[in-house]
Amino acid sequence: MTTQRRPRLPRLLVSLMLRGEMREVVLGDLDEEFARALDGGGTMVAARRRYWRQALASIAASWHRSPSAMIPGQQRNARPRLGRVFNGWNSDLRQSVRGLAQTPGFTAIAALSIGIGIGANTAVYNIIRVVLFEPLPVDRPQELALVYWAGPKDGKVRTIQLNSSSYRDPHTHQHYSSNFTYPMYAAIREASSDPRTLFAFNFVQRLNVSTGGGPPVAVPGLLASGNYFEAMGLQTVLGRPFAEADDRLNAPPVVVLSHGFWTRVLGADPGALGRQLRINGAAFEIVGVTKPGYRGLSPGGFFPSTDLTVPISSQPLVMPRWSATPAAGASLFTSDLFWVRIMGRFADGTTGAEGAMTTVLREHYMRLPLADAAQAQHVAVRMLPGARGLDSLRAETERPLLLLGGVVALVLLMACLNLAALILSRGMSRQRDLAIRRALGAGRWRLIRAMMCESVLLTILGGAIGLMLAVWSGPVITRMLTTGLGAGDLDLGADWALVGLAVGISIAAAVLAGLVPAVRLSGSFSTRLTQRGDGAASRQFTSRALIAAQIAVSVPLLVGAILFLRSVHNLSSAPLGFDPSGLVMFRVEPAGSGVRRADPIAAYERLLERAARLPGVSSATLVENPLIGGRTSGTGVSIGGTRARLNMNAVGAGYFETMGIPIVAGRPIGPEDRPGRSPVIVINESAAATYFPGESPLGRRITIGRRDVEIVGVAADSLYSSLRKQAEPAFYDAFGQRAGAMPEIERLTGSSAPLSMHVVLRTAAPAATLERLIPAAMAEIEPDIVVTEIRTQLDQINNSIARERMFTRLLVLFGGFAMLLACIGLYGVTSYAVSRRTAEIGIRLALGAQHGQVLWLVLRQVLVLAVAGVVIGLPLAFAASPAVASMMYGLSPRDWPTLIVSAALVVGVAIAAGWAPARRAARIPVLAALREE
Amino acid sequence: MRTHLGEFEQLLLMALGHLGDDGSGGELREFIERRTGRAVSPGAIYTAMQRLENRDFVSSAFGEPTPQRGGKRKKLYRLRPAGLRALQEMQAVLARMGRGLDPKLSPR
Repeated sequence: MTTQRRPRLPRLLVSLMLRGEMREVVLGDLDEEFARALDGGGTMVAARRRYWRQALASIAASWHRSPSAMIPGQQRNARPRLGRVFNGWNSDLRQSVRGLAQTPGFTAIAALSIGIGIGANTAVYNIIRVVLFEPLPVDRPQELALVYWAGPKDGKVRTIQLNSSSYRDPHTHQHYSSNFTYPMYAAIREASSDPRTLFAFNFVQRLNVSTGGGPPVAVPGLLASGNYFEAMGLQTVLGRPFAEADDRLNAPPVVVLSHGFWTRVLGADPGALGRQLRINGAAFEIVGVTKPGYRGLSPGGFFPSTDLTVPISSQPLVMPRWSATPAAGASLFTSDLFWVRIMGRFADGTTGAEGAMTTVLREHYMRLPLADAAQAQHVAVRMLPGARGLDSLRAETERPLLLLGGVVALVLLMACLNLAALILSRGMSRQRDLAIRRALGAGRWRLIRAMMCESVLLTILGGAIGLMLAVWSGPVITRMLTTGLGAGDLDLGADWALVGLAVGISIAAAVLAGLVPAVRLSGSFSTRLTQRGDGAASRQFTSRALIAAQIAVSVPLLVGAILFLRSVHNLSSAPLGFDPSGLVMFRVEPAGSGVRRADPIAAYERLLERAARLPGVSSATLVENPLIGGRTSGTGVSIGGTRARLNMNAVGAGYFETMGIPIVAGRPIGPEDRPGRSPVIVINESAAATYFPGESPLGRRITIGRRDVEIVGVAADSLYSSLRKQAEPAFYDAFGQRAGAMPEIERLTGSSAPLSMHVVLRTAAPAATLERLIPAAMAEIEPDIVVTEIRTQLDQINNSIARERMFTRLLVLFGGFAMLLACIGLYGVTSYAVSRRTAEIGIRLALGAQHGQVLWLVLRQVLVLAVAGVVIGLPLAFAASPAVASMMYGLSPRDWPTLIVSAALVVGVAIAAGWAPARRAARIPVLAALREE
Repeated sequence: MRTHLGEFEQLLLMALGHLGDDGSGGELREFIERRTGRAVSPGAIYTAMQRLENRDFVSSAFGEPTPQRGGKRKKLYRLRPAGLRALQEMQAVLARMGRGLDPKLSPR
């Protein structure tokens, strides 16, 4: 009966660690003692404790008392079978640890370089996996497809696109659009073989939500047709998803929450089901909560994670500006408003469905006003893979991400080369020692194992560091990458498979490097003993080749770093045309608040007046599209009969003064430019030069939409949406006067003002202070207004080049790191060469060689390596340049000055690394050197 | 052939002398623990006995497996003449070294 209660783990340990009869008798003794202790009335706890102690002591004793593994022959005779395998490893291990501890510098560099390589690779490839390959968390995601379509190139059908994206076929260059009208969707769906699997949706960037308690919040949402949850195969953890019955015009409005929203905003209260949520002012009933992993249709986070999903029929309630008459839900039936995206599940592939949908869509297109049969022939439906939701189309992120993957792979390669070189040189310096051991009869395998043990130990140490770096820096790098790439906040855990892979690669490299000297040595050993230490030229060559390879790898990294540094410098020194310092701005979300309800213009003016009284504010204004924010508005105009397309921006009074944009002629938009007064605009210098060459545009009228406006001023040019885009012809109109200028917008928004404006403040106060004060100040005026996107103009500019800045930082970091490693390798190899040639140099000096000649003797070798590295590395950099072309600004990725500077830098740094050993060589005392011979 | 015996080896040989023929590893361990008051692990016993056996100081044989030992056999040891000689020599050396130190060495 005691058999059952014997401690299993120590038994297992003893079985593993001891061999043969030793195992048998020790286990027998342990068990016997255990049984007797219990029979003698001892407690189980005490008996077990003793079992443990005795087992461990036995293992330790059998290891500790083994004769030294260093004495060949004896071991085998002395103790047949007895723990031989472990015994040997144990002593190898101890020796390796001792050896590594004796050279802490070497160990630290090798482990740290491997660690950085592993950490960087794990972080980057984890993101690549999630962003580029992770499918939607639904059943059989491969069946999902996005439905896009192309119309005739010069179509006469008026199309108003809302929230659309387009896809360009890389071969035919045909553009396909994501958006359909609701009637188009209905027609396609009706003709579909399985209408249940075809659903409609679109995003809403911000929905203003009040929960009853607490201030309102703005969250991203999704409008989806009633079959959305069923077609996607999405479950809820609480309540139910909405269904077809909820997606009717007069059905009571319902909403499904994301798990994140439910926990964050509602405190994961299960009682939330059935409660009311006010979304953009309308009441919705909470019916369900989705599973935690569900982020909407963008697993890569390129679109904001969906917090609220509402039936598409409630669009008039939540997005009234998409329809002229909200109550009627007109946009559902409007035939020129393209606001519906379509996605579906196609178990049998998309080819057949594509043709069928094209036929349906052509028929439907013919019935549109102004369309004809010839035009309808150009209509074609195109299915795009939807397994990764909308991220399937984020082709532009692919290239920078893969580039980054290449960069970190180079870093790992660099670390492996470095490790290999270090281990190789270490192996060489231990040749004598190994040769002696071999001569004394140590087995070949034994020596190889001893060498490899050290390599593997180093890599495991490096792997541990890498793991720590990955865990610690992972979130940092992830945030850097995702903001740089325009993805949202991804919650990435460590990917252990990736960590394992990276560690595996490093171990393989280390083992290979450890093998080279070990195998060579263990072959013939007698000659080695008679030689002075080492010196076979071929081995010298191997380690020199490794150094050259390291230099070659660091060249493209360095070139990239310099390219990006210059590019970002060009971007940030581009003349803006306005003064960005001291500007703080924020967006006021009007939907559902007084800004929309009553007199929007008066409401904005009240908000602005309050904002101007914030501490340190010298002027305040409103703007439709803040500068360098990636957004533009534009419209077709008629200038003296010629049609033109101009950028436009609706602004408030004091805009030019606040932004620091000089007015070169006439007057700015002022407080007098109110609705009802005659509409005026200010044009920029580009527009003046293009459309009024050689004459004054002041007092001239242009036609925007249906109405004439007067040009009252000319402003200096300034950049609009991006640092990369030169100033284009543009006009500024008064935000209160836009009514009538844009009939479509007016009809869609149902308002005479652009609905969401940004407040811009010029202030001396720190942005952090204002950030705290702004929401409260705005709430004083409009209690349920939502303030979002508080930031400084400088932050906004920096964010607009986040990708470039991220690459710059990473490349400078990795390029510098690679260079440093190459230098360490170079220094080591050169020092070693000098120490080997001490006698030779002594003779040269004794025979009258000048110090300069000796210096050159050593540096020449360094130069050969550096030049070899550059010659290999430059073509690499050249070949990689197209990948970064789109991110360059003001220079070509094959910028010769950059390449030349990089090459010079590499050679210069290499000489610096070789300088110390070279000088040491030149200063060798002649007598001492000769004595060494 | 070296005749040096370590302290633990002496203890083992002396214990084996006490136990007479066919002392098992477990008995050796218990005997030493009882007389010296220090804990000894089975591993230490067998490792050291292996070394003594290699030097021909003891011989060993396997006993019958018992259920109490989980079906494992016992290892039984016997002191060989060479072992006895080595032990005698060491004892003589110790006695020579201790001569004249009696007042200091005798327990109080």
